[in-house]
Amino acid sequence: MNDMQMIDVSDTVEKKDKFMIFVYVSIIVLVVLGLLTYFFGYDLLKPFIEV
Amino acid sequence: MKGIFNKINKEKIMNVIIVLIIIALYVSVALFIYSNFRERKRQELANGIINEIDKTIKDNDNKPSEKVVNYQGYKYTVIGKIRIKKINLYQPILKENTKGAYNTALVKMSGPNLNENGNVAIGGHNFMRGNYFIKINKLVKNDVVEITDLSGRKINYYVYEYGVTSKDDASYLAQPSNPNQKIVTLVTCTKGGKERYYVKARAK
Repeated sequence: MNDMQMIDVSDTVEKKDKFMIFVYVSIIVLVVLGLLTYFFGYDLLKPFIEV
Repeated sequence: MKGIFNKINKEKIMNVIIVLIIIALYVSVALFIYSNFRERKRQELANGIINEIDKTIKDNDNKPSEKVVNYQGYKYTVIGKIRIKKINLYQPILKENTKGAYNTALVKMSGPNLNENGNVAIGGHNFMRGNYFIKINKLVKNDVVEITDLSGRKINYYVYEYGVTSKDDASYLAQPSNPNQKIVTLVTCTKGGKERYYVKARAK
């Protein structure tokens, strides 16, 4: 193989970027949903909770 | 080229691990919130039952020894309440010896009516959070256990003995040799249910 041969990795980089966006969005959704549920969800979910 | 494939494979494995970690985080948060809500509901239920029996204690002329309380769809027979200020415990005592009752409050296991002569045993779970008997191991000699029955009679019991025993040993439930003595025994599980932690207190 020629040492100077260029390899196009742009697709891989783009996929990685998308994946990282998915990771960040998942974590943000988790935090937001978690906080909303914790502070405001009790009355809504109370009938479904067994003691 | 081989190096690039290896790198891509490693990245895929890493991605799968990251996705699994995110799923685990979602599950953990859901379990935490559910456990927290469950504890809040238990506490709400216990407080509601106490409010109901407080009305009975204030209003009653017949002085019943028990009262059926129907609160938020949960129906229990209540015989009194217990307060231990040192460990911040304030719970109703139920007559039903069932799993549901144990999940809701404290339960009379054996013995005479509350505040009568003899040894009355009160059992309770020790969930990792909140109330019940999780902190009874903090009680030491002469700590006060306050029991109120439905007639409004409130008696202070003073701790004189505590310890751990096998789950098969029920000697702590035995009635006192002095028939005029009033004893209350608090019991909870320890070591995953293999042993029992008990605290005995008597009225002076």
